[in-house]
Amino acid sequence: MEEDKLSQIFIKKQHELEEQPSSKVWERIERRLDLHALPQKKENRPFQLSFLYIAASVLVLVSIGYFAFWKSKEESVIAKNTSKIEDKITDFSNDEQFYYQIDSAQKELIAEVNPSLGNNLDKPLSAEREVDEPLSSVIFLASENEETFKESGNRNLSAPSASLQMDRKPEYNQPSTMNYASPPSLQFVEDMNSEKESIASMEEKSAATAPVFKKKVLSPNAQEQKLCEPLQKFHWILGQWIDKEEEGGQSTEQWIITDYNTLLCVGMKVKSKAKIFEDKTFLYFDAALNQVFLKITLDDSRKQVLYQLTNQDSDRLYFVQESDATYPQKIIFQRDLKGYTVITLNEKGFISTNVQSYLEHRNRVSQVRAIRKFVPYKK
Amino acid sequence: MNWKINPKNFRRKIFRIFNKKVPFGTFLLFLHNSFTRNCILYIKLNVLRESEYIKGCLAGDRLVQKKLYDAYAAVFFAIAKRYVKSVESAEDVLIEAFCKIFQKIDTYSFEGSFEGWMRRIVVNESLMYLRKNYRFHEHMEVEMIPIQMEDANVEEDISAREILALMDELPIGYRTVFNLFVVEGLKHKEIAEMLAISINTSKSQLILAKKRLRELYEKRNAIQNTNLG
Repeated sequence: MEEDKLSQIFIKKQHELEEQPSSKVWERIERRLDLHALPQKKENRPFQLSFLYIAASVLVLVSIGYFAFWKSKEESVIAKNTSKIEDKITDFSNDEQFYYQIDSAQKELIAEVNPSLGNNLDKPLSAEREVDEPLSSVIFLASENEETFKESGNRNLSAPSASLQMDRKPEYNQPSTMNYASPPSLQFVEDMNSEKESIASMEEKSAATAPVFKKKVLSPNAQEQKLCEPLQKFHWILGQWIDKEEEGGQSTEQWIITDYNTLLCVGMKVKSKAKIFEDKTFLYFDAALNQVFLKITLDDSRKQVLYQLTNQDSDRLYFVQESDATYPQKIIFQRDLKGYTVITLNEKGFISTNVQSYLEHRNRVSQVRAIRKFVPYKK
Repeated sequence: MNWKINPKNFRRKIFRIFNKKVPFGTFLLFLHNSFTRNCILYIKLNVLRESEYIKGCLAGDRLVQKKLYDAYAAVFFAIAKRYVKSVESAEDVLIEAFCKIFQKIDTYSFEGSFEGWMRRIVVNESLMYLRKNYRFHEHMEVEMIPIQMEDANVEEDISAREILALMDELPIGYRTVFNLFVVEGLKHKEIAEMLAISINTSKSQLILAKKRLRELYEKRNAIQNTNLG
């Protein structure tokens, strides 16, 4: 069909209509394309990245797992515990050094009285036992000036009572004849030392990357720390104890001397080689009140509860508190032929949930009492 | 881009290769050669063949897409303007069309020319735009085929732009059929399918469109003559 002339002209000249649209058009197209392109990229990327992430995270987890768990398997949980206690003991020796230091003014005073002593004063007592003898004379001299002399080993005491304390302090009594449960302390410490040495040597062999911190080896003499007289009847308790009959795992307790008038007990509960509970108990003699106290942290609030030693006979030690009704009222230590039993009594039957969870860890047997029966720990 | 060469680096490279000073003349010759080669490369890169466009667009290469746009935007803009009245709506059609081209390029089956395929997309997009506000089958059901009029005397000096201005006064249905039949060269059957109308309607619309267009032309001439007179 032939077109009319107007159409023919239009077909012929249609190229005249061609002109570039405004630059905004391309910008809008680009924006549209970017919008459509984004989801496609998202589909591709996460898979590739996630594959890398998974590979990297697996690598990291395996390496962490190796260092954290494989190595700790070799160390027993109890060995960790003793290392902590060791730290405490070394701290104590440092304290001893600190408290035996004498002011320069006092040095001058001593040098005036006895010039031959002046040179030996710089040496701390714990470093050499030889210093013991001359120092006792120093103490004798210094006791004449009671106000300026610093009492050694006991921070809590005020100046007048310090002089009273000093008469007792240097004496060290052997464990009382009541101790028919053989004290496992020395044997245990030696065992732990050999074990620790073997672990240390193994670590040195396996990897030289991490620095190995050598801890001070506990000497057998360290157990023969001096103890004030009221606490000497607790000497039998020193050492490592274990309760194997508990339902939710095994409880261990280790009693050590941290201070002249303080005993520390680190208690732990271990379940299938994992530590699930730990607490610290202090048994100390308050010289100002002339009383023996048991200081326990019973819950997460970190509030320390004081139990006073009220009653004692040949078998039992009664620690009582009546200040706070939300905590157990009595803690009884009962000795027997093999070891001892700790009974936590809650006579009023009104305790907070935190304390309840504590008592669960302490082998709670009924609403009113938790009982743990300890025997000496043998490897 | 490999063909971009930094002359400073090149001189150093040559110096390294021969381990002695290169005469400046040799260097100039080298520069001249590289310049001519670069010019040829530049031209090649800017005017791509169809297959290169398709390859680049399939890969989602933004540079190739831009080049395709630069090459065809004017042509497709002209097409869109024929169907849609305003420039703004023609630009909208263009955007839709190009987005479709870039996104649906994987459906191009290499039957017929690439440009023809793209043209069809632009025309389709234009019709889609018109369909938004206008239903062809409702407005155009005229079964009566009018008698064809005789050809009028049309002066050759009338521009395409002037004809387009006349076409803007036509109803949408008339103009669309006129565009599809006369400019795009489609058959009445195809047009009927595209617009969902009968073949007879398409025929009658075309005749009416031509008739109206001639009337408009004569009217315009008359106005021009009175203005001149």
